[in-house]
Parts: sequence; structure tokens; C-alpha cells
Amino acid sequence: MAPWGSAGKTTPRFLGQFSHYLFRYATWLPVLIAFNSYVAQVTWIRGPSMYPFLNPQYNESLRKDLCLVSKWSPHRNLERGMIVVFRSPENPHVTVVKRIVALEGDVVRTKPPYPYEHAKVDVGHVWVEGDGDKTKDSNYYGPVSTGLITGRITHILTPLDRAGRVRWWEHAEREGVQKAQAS
Amino acid sequence: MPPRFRPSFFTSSTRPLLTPKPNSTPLQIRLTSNKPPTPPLLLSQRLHALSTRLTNRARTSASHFLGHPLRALAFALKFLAFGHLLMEYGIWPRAVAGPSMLPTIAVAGSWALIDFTHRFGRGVQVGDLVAYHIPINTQSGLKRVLGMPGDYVLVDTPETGGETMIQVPPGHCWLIGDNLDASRDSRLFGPVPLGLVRGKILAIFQPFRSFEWVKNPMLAQ
Repeated sequence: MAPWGSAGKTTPRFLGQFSHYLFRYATWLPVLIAFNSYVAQVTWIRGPSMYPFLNPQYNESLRKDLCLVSKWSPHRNLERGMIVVFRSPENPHVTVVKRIVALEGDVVRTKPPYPYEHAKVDVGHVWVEGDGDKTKDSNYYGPVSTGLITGRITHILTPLDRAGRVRWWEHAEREGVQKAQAS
Repeated sequence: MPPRFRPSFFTSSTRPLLTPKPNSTPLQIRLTSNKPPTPPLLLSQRLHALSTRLTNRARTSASHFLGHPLRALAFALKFLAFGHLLMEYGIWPRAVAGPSMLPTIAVAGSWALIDFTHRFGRGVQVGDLVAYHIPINTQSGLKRVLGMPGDYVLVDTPETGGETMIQVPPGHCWLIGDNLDASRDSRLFGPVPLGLVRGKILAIFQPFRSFEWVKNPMLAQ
């Protein structure tokens, strides 16, 4: 018997056991929160912005991809091609999934909504874009600070035919990115 | 062992069932136990019982963990995670330093009481002091909010810089140090996403010397 849960003799038996188990499971909640914010998390992908890589059937079915997000040291060792999860610069309560196109110091040939033809990515920022056409990305709100990045997508869990590790390094590089000298 | 609480009419008795006792009213039936009533405990006895129960409980809790490393590990994990939750979402003092907020905060030795429930700019108004992640590196800073989404702000330093004004984009804020000459703020790195705001400063204090609540100059008339 757990020492804290042995209900007092005056408590009815059901209430005593119920509160005991409630307390016992509730003490795991902080662990779950810490795990989700620092180790890994499982999320559904919503929206078409990463079409065809994620949610390839977004306009045919309601099925959504289930992905594993690694939350371990999200700001470090970022590479072009990685799929990252970050808080939207437009609304901090919305989390978005995009692919890193350029790192700090790179010069990017931008796409239409951006007001200038070329953009140099600032220090401590990355240029993110969705794979599909329906995407609101750095061409809309500019480079994203790495401080906003909360994780990166490492695995697809469902659907099972595409399940497996995300091989971001095999993804074709985007044209029009002039890499910085250092890297 | 026989059951302890047995109604009187099951116990062996020479009297027939449901007959009145000699010195009682006729229709009364005894349903209580045959045991003599226990006298009320003295205060000293109750204290003794309480201490015995507590020490027994302590003994069981020590043995609860002693032979069980997994149990101890789980307890430590829960304890640490709960502490982390408090540290992340509570109100905590942090040491602050630097010349950028000079009239308000001294260069060294000051502490700020930060309310982390205001993270992501929740409930932050123009004029508040906020702690934030600096967008161009991995450090944290402390600045004053000059503009919230939709507000028009001066891009450069007043009097010495240009006259250009921009509108703060949605989801961003414009942060400025109080000491304009020695501050790296939004004039350098532009509007800061609210997602980088960590909390609001409630008070500035120096341990054992001074304590001052931060007042929003835009609200205090």
C-alpha cells in the first residue's frame, strides 16, 4: 500500500480509493508535460502546407498524418531541408510545420508575396517554406528566429504505408539559395 | 475469530428473544453490541496513538522506497517535473544586469521579479517591462514595450535618427531600452515575435536594500 494513499478509517472506502488513484495519476502530469516539451511529442499534421510530403491526401480525405516531433535541443544543428515545428511569428499560440530552406547568412531568391526579389537571412534566423503551394511561410512573414523553433519532425507514424523516419537529407535542395561562405 | 459486532439477539442469552429487559420500557429492543462501551480516551492517550500512527507511517514510507529503486526513481522524476512546472509557469526572481535600462534598473546587482504567466505576450500592454529571448542570439533580455500589434512606432532613435514610422505587424511587439544610447533593441533587430516574450516584470529589487513594484507609466496618470 502506498503510504500517502491509505485512506483514513473514517473515509468511505470508494472515496478513499478514488482520491488515492486520482492523486497517484495526477502526479504523473508534470512528468508528461516536461516530456512533451523537452523530449518528444506526437502530433497530428493539419493543413496542406507540406503537401506532398505530409498530408498528401488533404483534399481527398479527412485522414491526417501522425508525426513524432523531437523536442531535444531544437535550436542546435539546424540544417537545410529539416522539417521544423515552430510558433508562428504571426500568432504565438499557433504552431506550424515548415521546411528549413536557408540558414543564417544565406541569400534566398524569394517567392511572390515577399516585397523584395532577394532576401539575406539574418543572424539567428532561418528561412522556412512549405513544400506545397498553399503555404504561408517566410515569403509572407520573413525569416523566422530560431528561438521560435520548438522541435523537428523525425518520424511519420501513420499512415502505415508512409511510416518511418523522415529522410530530410534526401529532399532536393530548393533552387535560388546562395549558401553562406562558412557552411 | 468470531465477528466482533453482533446484535444482542444472536448472542447466547438466557432471555427469550424480544422480551423486555427487567428495568426498561416494554417495547425497546436492544440492537447494540454486548461489548461494554469503551471509555473516552484521555488527551495523553490520543497523542500517544497519533504519534504511534505517524511513526508507523514514516516507517512504511521509508520501506516503500528502500528496496525499490524504480519506485524511488519515479518519485524523483515526479518531484523534479513538478518543480520544473513551478519554475516555468510561476513567478520567480531573476538577476538582471546591463546598462540598457539604466534609469529604471542599475547596471549590476539588481533582480527582477518575473511573472511567467505573461509568456507569449499574454496580457502585456504598452509601457510594460518584459523579459524576452533575444531574436538574434540565444540570450535573454529585458526591455520596455513601445508598441503592440497594430501600433505605429518610430523606427529610429528620436531626435538623432530618421522620421520613419512603421506599423507593428500582427503577433509582434516593439521593444526599446530606457537608455537609448546603450541599448540593443528593436531598432537593431526589428519587431520581436510575441512567441519570444517570456514574462512580465512585476518588481525590481536589490536583495536586502530596496524593493519597488514596477508601474506602467502609460497607466499611472
